[in-house]
Amino acid sequence: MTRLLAHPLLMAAALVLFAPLSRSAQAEDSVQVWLDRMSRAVETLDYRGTLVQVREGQLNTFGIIHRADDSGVRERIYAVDGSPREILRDGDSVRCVLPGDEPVMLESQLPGRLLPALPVNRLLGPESGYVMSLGGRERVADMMARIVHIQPRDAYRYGSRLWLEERTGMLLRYALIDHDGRQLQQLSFTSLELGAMISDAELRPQLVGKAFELADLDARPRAGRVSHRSLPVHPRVPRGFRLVNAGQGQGSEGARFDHLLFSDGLSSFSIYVEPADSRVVAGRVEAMGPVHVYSTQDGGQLFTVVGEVPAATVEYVGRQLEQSGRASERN
Amino acid sequence: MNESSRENLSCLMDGELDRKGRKFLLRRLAADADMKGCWNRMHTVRACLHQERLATADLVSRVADALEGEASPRRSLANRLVRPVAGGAIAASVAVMAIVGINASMLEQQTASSSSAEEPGFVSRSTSLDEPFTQSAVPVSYSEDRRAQRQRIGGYVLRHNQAAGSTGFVSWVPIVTEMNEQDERLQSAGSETTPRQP
Repeated sequence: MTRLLAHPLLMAAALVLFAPLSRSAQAEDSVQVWLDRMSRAVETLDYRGTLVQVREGQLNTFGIIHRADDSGVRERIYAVDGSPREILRDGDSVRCVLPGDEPVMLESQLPGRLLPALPVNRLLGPESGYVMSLGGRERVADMMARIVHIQPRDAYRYGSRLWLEERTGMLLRYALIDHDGRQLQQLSFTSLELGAMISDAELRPQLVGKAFELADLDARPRAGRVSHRSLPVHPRVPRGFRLVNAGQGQGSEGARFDHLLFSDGLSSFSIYVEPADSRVVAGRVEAMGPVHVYSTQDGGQLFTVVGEVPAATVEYVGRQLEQSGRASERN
Repeated sequence: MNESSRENLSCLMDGELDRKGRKFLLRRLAADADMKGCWNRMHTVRACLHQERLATADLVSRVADALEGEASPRRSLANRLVRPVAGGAIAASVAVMAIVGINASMLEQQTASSSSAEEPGFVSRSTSLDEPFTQSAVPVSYSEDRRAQRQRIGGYVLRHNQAAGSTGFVSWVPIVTEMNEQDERLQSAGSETTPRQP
């Protein structure tokens, strides 16, 4: 091969043939650099900003306060218009207050994320579910941003367009797109103060409600050591998604559940399995914006598939769970 | 009809064909009576497995009851013995026809829609082949008696985002938004529960 390439003509031909491939690999490599910078910036910078969300012709405005220090990440996201709502993150705990006559305070405790760091080779390799490229530059919230395009290869995952601040990689604007490139929602900062001094008072909860808590039962995350034998279910999932972790939790009523986390490197969904009575509940897809939920009850078990993935994905997985439930009942 | 066609139909039903394959098969299905029959049979079987057997059984008993309660002229002994059996059989036939009929009409709808002008796909929308058994996604909404479910699903979404280490506000903001909308769209969802047949 070396001897063949030593021939000037063959060498030139090889350069012509492989140049586009190498350019594409370089583009994806630099996309990866930008994505790494973004992940670090969003979590480690201190900032205060106003964010607008546009979805289905509706406009919502939020305030965001984010601080990262030695004690971990603290964040408060609150609705500026409509009924008062807020989400608070404090280290391993996240709390969301649902409005209503009797406000409910959902709280979840999880020691660290269960999703391992982005597997770069899978995101950039031929089996990746996405095509990524770097776009042009645009001004957002009075800052210059570089655009990154992430296009899904099939309809089982969403893609996105990201506007990343040039100096820090901070995410300034985010558009969620579907397989056909249609924009489903957009989030954009209208003002953002990077490196802001954030006081404790700004991060204090403003709303309270009746508590409903989910606790983690696992002493530590089990990434990379998932034993398939011990899993409660083994459903078929859309191509590219793999089981990346499994754990157990407990609801406020004391009910235990199994939690299986699947990811393709960018998109992810969870399967929750918990004991249920012997009723059969027809499968049902519900939507919380881009988050889809499929709930079904069969074989004395309640399955809930949750993720920021298209309805087709949670439904596909939910149906596989139903089928495997029926098969195990027959055996 | 050969084994390969049967396999293709099965893939179509499970949503495992790509767009091109689906379109091709639906066109073939519309023109091939034999294949259409097979498709209907597969749906009948699937419907039975998919809890619609419960609806069928209910329909059978309701039709049987109706026939039973019907005032009838004087009957011979043979008629009296045969009648309940025949009633059940007719009822069962009606029930099966109801399912087959529904699926046939859905198939026609599918064929019509698949032959219509190319429409840009939408990932959140179910595919045409899913229509007979797929409800479209509805906004998560909870009536008062589903409060526990509201909390359970809300908690699961939070935990999923934590587990996935979601990128800050990108994943959390839509949750804050949608939880407001849930309350505004309250009361729209009915119970989906069906008692299991003994």
